[in-house]
Amino acid sequence: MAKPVDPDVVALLEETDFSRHNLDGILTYHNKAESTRQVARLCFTTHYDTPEEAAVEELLFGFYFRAVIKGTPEYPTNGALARAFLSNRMPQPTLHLQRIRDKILFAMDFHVPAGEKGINSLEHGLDVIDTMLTSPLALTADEGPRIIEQVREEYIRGIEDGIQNHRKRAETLFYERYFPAIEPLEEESQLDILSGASLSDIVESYEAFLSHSFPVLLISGDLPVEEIAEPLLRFAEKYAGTGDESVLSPPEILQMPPVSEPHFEYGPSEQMHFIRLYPLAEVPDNSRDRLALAVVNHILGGGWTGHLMRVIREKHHLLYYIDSECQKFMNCINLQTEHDPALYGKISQLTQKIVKGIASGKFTDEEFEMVQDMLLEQTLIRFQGNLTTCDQPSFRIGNAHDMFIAKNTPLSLAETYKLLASLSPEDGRRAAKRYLKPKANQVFTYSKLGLPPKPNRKIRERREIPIQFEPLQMERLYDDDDKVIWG
Amino acid sequence: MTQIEHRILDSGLNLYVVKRKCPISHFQLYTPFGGDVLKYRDPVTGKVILLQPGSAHWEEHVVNIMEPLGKKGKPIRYRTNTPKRKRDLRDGMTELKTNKAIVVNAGTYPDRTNYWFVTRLNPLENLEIMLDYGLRLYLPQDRHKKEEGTIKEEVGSVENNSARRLYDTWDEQAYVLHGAKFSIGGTKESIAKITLEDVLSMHDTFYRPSNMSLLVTGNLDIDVVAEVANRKIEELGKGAYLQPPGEVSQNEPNGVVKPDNFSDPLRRPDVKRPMILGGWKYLVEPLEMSREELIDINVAADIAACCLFGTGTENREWLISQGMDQDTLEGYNWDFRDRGCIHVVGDTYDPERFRDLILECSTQALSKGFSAEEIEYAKNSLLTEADGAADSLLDFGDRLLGWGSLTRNPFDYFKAIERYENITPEEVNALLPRLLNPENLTFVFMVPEE
Repeated sequence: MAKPVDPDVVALLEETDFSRHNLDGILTYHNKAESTRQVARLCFTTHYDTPEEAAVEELLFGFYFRAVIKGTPEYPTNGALARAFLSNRMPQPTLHLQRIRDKILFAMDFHVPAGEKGINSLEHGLDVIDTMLTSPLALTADEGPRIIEQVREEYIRGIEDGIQNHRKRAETLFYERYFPAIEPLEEESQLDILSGASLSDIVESYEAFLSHSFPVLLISGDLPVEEIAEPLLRFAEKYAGTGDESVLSPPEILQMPPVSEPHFEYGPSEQMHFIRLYPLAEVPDNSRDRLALAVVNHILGGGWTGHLMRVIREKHHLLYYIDSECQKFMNCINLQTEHDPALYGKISQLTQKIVKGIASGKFTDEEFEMVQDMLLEQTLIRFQGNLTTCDQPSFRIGNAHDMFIAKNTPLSLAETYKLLASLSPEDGRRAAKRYLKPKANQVFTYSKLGLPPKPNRKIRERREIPIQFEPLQMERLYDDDDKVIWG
Repeated sequence: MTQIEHRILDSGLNLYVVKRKCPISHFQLYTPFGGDVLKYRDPVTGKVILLQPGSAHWEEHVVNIMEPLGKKGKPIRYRTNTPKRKRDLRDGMTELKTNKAIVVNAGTYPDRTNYWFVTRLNPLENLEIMLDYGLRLYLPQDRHKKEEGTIKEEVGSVENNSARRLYDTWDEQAYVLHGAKFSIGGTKESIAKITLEDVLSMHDTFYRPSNMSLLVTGNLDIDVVAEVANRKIEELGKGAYLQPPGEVSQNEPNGVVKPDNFSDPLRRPDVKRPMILGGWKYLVEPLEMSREELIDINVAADIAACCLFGTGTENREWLISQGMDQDTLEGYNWDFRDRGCIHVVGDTYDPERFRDLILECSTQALSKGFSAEEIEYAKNSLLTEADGAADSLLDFGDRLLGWGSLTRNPFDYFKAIERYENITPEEVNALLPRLLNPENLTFVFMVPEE
């Protein structure tokens, strides 16, 4: 039975909506927010022919930007650039680089005070960034070579240091193996590219990115759009390329290769990182099913209250944390945890048993409705690093980015809320039975060499199941590939 | 103007409410029983009682366990809160989620353990749930045994993290007597020694209302919150005021266990290049210092750390010009109830040189002080950060909580902001000998295993 829609929540969510404008040829989205701050994001997006090409360009473009933030003649170090803001009690703008398959997004975030003071702050920030882009020390004959080599070394080390973050390393190796469109370049290739990149390579990459880019401006704050957008429009016009709105297309849904025997990767982790992926039997062809699956996933592994935690941690005390995610752009449900390697067999058996139960619809109406309620309330917050609430400009900008730039979701928050509220437990069971086929799953582990898990007698030969997908509109994704390179 | 109110309830619970226009509310119930606390004074006998490392964290793991529901859907009545075994236990975090709380969590820090949730709906009912599991312990004996497994897994996960090992090793080198020398989670050995009786006794001692605080941020009135809290505490049988445990000075001396580990560095297979963590511990005596002194020393420490290592500071630029690695060099202040540390970390192949540079700039600071200009810049940097944090409900709550642990009053956060603005260079520099005492300096070097 559908839940009643709470008009207070709908009203709150409708306040997060943006109006669309075309200001001097720049696509602009604006939201009115009564807050002590205003937030603006100027995002340039460029499309490449393949994910591999985009990954190479991401490295080179990232190299370029790491070099320009090292300083300008006026602000000769990265520290001096920061000081230009902080000494005036102004937050530094943040520069983000993100690759989504065959696209690169380059975004600048400005958090400025409300009112007219915000415009002054914005103008100052844009001036500094403009100086960085037009006359960086990295391109001068005196300082350039030293800066380039320094950045090269830092960038290479940053990639090599990925070995310290075991969870992230496990995920990277997993994607490289099964979803190369997400991680098209292995570490060795990345290091080769960076080692061999010349100054002209990285400048060319930057210029090519901008010349083909399409800018979008997102603003949330108290000032009218024409007032606050003005300095940003001048900047966008200066740097925008020839790209058009078609570059803002939703990502294609990826196809998992046929599942096979568990794969064990080795690395210097004492704990075993365990990933288990369940490709969906088909691509959900409507938003209702997608949201129903999101609820089912939450019942399975939505943190503390999910079946995975309740059984494997609370009942059996085998690990500290386990969860699952509904990865829509990979068309799968993905479990992840870390544990004592000796417990591999037990973890493997228990996760499979739990997923089988969920896939056959074994959850109560009460459970479904409880999780549904949780997800309804969660539309009011974003929890990525820090928690923001729907009344805050930063929440609204993040959500607008998902909708209008990354195109991760076709629905507004209010629409999502209403659709979610309309679901019944039967929708959940139907979605679970239709899309979840537990026999087809891929286990992947990452742990220390010399501690392979004992063979699990219950693992049989996996039948290869070809899966076919059709590209569709997407729901909200995670932007955990978002890299902050300044600020 | 932010409206802030404080009240002490009859049971002794400290209630702080910050009224703030926001669609959701943030509730934090915390005790000063954190990972550093390995001894306390029993309020009845006056004796000093010692605890195992990891005690506070152990407690956090079991506090949210609740008795099952009976046939009528109400919590069962029980004669003992530690039956041999019990099935269908509930847990407070799930109860909160079921009652529409949006985010629920708990955490053990060096100087506090905090239970919190954010909610739009049912804020007062959810408060009752949190008070229920926070103030009343229900722990079957078999569950106590099993929880050891989960905690050991968590400790394993921490030990698998090279950065955590680096920081834990620094604590082991820096602290002679203080509980900080042990990891918050304890060790696998110490965890195994924490008995059910210990857990029950610690809960009774540290989780009595007089030893706890409730901090609420949101669109709520203190009268309403106080009424609900009072009623629930009475219902739980915790309404009578009981003296809180006494804080005991850890008597941490100046001086470190060892000034460095260069001859026997920490070796890790999951590290690609050598790195170093150095810094000063500084000691605070909250039982002897006024609140203003506590505020000043923590504000001065933040400023000092920023002057030394903050982005854009002259000293940081100088360190980089002397060869310190720009990309990985970081420094900051961590402050807790009765101690703090100013840390600096970075990649280096030459730990001796790294140390020499740190000594050089700190000696300079001690003899001449930081310039007024640098102090002004540091203040602006810190205030800019605070401005940003104030926008986020959770960040704001975290900052209040931090001050609640430092001075026992979260509203000292606002006084601290004022102090950031008006503390003079002379006042900051006067505290540097305490903050940058060379006797309290130690370095940990970590290298790739091969």
